Amino acid sequence: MEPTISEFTIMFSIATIGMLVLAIAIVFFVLFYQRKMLENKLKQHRIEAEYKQKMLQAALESQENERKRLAADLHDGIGAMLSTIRLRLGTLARTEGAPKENIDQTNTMLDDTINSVRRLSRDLLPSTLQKFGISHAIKELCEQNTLVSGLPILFSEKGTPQEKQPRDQLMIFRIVQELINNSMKHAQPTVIQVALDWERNFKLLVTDDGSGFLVDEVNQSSKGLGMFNMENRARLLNANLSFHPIQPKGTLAKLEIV
Amino acid sequence: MILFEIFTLSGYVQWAGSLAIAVCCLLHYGKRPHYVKMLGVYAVVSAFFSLAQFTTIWAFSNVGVNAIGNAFVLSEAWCFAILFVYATPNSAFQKGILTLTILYTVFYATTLLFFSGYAYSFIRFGRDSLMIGYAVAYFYYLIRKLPEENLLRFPMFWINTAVIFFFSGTFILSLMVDYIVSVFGNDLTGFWTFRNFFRLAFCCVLAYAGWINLRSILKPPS
Repeated sequence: MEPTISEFTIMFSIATIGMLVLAIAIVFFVLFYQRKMLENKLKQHRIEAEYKQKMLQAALESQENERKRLAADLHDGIGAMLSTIRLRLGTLARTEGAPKENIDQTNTMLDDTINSVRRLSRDLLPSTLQKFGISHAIKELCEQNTLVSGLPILFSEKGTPQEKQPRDQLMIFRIVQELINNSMKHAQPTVIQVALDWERNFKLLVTDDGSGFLVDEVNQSSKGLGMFNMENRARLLNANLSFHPIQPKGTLAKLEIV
Repeated sequence: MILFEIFTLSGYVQWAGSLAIAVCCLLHYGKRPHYVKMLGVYAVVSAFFSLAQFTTIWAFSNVGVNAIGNAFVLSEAWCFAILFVYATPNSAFQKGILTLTILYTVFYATTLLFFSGYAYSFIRFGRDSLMIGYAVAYFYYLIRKLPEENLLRFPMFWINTAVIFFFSGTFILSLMVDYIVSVFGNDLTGFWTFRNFFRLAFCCVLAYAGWINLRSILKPPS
């Protein structure tokens, strides 16, 4: 017996609704599955990024520890021995009556060597940084580099210095060291200016009037190790490191901790 | 009479839906991806066949209206098959789609030639099954490929959703149409009216997919 039109309509409606519900289920499954998989992917990327950051931090800490050890060995070991040699030479010269000229020459060479060892030791581990903080350390760095190279490196500061973690101070110091060294080595500037700005977010500005070497290096696909280390240190500081050409010539390197 | 008038209106309205798809998919034709262009071609084909059916109704007293409808079924299957081929740059999927469509064409011809009494249902049921199968396969491909963009801004997601909804919704009707005609006669009008309005919704979603693509071309995301 054939169903009536209304019975058939009911059966037809139920079957059609069933098909539509199935279609809806498939569409929502795809939407939610994609969203879930993307969330998992993002989570994984975040974990990988955190791991890379930790590895980077460990590598830089290991580097600093090594520098600390070398600085100590240089200062306490070699530096001390050279000072002792100088003293004994002085004593020998007075007692043995050796020619004054020879003694003076040897003393000068020893003085130069002792100064070089002290400078190396200071560059490896700046004691001013530990004792007096980042502002003094950078100021001293500028003065010493001016003395050694003859190139004026001017230091200025704005605002009240804030307390920073020793690790962060060391990172900033290394970045300034690298920027000054790069500028002197490659850009041939006539003056370098280092400015610290403590108002609001911490800003470090290093400008030179050289050839714009740093801006060119940043734009290249393969960067030097120094630039790579600077960028890594900036990342660990949660800071932005950027390089801008300035008119008429020169570079502004800006480190801003957000 | 009122039902017949609504049925006639539904026919015109779904034709307008086809035109809307054509406008949204064929503007700036050169810049569109192939699957959107194919959707535009489908819209033009659909509008053409609808117009042909209206002409037979107005001028030839419905002579040939079913044959035109049957011819459209095969065209629709091929249009969507080519659209899915363009949308899935995976050779295994493409070969599968083309093979199944060729097999459907053979089935279509065989049914029309040897089983003409049930041809109306069988060819539509076959087409609906094929379309649902392509849509499910495409969703599977999407899950495997896992695009990172928001799926709701992806035109092919909307095309696929429209296909799976429409052909699932008309699946039972397609299967039962010959039975309805033989048992209930003109009561098919009511069912076909529902189908036409459902098709209008289908056209609206396809037009929306074309519009999303058009918007992304005119205003590329930053």
